[in-house]
Amino acid sequence: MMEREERKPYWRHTKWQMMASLLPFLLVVIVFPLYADKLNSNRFIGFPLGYFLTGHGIVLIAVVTVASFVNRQDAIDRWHGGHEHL
Amino acid sequence: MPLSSRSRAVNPRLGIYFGIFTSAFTALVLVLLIFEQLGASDALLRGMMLGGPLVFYAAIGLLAATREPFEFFASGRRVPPFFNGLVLSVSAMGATGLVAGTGLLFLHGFDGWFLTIALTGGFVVMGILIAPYLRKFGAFTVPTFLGRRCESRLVRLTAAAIAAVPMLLFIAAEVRTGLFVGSWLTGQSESMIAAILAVGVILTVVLGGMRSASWANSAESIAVLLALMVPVAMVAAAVTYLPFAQLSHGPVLRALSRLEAQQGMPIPVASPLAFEIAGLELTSITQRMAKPFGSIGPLSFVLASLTLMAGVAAAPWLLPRTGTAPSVYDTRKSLGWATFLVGTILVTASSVAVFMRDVVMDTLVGHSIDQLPEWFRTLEAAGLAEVHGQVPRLPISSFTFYRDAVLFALPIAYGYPAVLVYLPLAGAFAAAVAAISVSTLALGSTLSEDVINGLRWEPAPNQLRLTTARIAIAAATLVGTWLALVAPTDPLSLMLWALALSASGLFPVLVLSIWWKRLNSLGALTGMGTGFGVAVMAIITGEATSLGLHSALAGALGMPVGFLAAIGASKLGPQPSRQTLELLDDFRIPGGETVYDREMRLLRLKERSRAI
Repeated sequence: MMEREERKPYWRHTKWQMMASLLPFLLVVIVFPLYADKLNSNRFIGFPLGYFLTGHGIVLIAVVTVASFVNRQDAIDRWHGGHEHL
Repeated sequence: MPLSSRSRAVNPRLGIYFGIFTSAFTALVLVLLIFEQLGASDALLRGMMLGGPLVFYAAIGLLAATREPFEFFASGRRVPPFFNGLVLSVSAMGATGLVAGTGLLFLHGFDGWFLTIALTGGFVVMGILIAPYLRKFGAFTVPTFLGRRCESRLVRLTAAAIAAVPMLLFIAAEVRTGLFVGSWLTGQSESMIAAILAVGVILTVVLGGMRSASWANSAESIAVLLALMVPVAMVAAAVTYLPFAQLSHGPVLRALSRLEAQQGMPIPVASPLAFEIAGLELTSITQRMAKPFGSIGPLSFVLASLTLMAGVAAAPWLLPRTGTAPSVYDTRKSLGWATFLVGTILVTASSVAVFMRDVVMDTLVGHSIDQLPEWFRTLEAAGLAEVHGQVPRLPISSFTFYRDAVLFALPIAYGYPAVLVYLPLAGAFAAAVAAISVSTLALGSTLSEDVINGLRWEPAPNQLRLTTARIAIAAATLVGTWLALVAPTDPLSLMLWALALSASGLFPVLVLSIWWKRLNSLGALTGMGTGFGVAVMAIITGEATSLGLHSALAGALGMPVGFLAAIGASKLGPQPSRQTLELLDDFRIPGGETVYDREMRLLRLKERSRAI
């Protein structure tokens, strides 16, 4: 169980982590489709690049985002002594 | 009852059990393939393909029956992350997302990606913003959480009323797709399939609630994965020499683009706010596969992705599922699995779309009307495709297709045995059953916990609590099925409306209730009411007139309005009380006892001491 005085720094840390995970992802979701047409002339493992990035790319980035978030947030929990003992 | 030791938290034999299910399902398909070669009747194959797995799901559901509310509503909080993610991914997408998503990618090419982005990104947003805190709070339904957070019964009731609408729409959408798939698979009438569907769902969830749903839906989700991946891998191995369709269909897509350029397919340009997607009528392919924004404008593509994403993140039928993970850390991990699995499934669907376009370009376009292949005649006879025009070399615009049939047309087009056509149909049916059971379960528990027994914070006695929930779940299933039968609407629109409504009614208030201390009951009420009202108005205007926004984009109006209203009204209302701040501090941090479980334990202690 986390100490009372740890709660504030824990939440500040968590907020920054939330933004660091979410904002780049949202940016990617907005930007990739809009530039897809320009990127389509390039290719990547056979795919038109814009098409690949919008479909497979966003899925891959989503998975990486969640994975890194789970890892970082767990590190934050441990740092502030909020780790769950099961 | 909080469980402390890990050995009791997660059943170590789960992998074995689901291994047995996977082998049994595979064996069923192989046996049916053999039967087909031996000349068994078609009716037997169809019946076995629908009935065999369905009996399995119902049996799992019945075996997991329980009398303990903690098990009934939260599956004992011991579903490991992988299974949680598996069920989340399949029930978020449902049969509608799978079948209509493939159809959209086939008919609109690039523009169909918005659904994939919405579903995958929705889990990212849910995992980062909402799910871990809801798990630490541990409420069985979303309205319970909001009511306790704002310390107001009115908030609880309003949230229940607002959450019920998207859940009901989602059930209706899934029943519609289930009816289409089921009647294709068995050749029975719609009302017959509706009865099978409703009975199947009720058998699976009524006795065991969330516990039954966890394990029956895991089996259904495994069936969905197998049924989708196996035929696609076979086609991919035949076309690209690699069974990994998701990453290997690039060269096919490039060859397809070259053919499209040779044919001189037009490159339509949609206006920024256009949103024209295929409905239930037969639709022709009007845009090139990899060329963006031919029927959905760039602005509405981004808006649709973002608002539907928020809708998935705040979906009141998915959030109770996050409470079944053993810990906050496991909840985050299960969202990771959900993101991965839903992404994989939808990328596989996109490869189906590309292979199917390739077949169309190869065997239909450029031929005359009496040279058309057998598979197209089959689809035409079923009313799922049409050809117009008498020219000797037919252009691609003369063919029209039914959106929801594309996924199942691929094995037909490759001339695979009938069982391999019935396999994806059975998979889509399983997805429908999974999605319906998840959403009726959530709707039923919301009705019984927050409306019928919701006037007191203390829960009703166990027996009464379970009986109400069971009746409410059965009623929710029947009402949803009835709604789908009397009002046959396009399932994809129903699903998009459900997501738009949850994005505007619930997402702002849920996010603020966790991330903003100042939110109070006035803010929550105004936020939910305004956001929901604006979204409903936007949907009605979008449907009634061709002016303005398409109804699927209702969240783009409702969500910002909901945020503004919630923030503005909270500023006008009183500061939240000390207890609320204490509660907030408690569920923001992981570790320690789950808030809801502790409160229930204390209430029980108080009752016992009063009795003595």
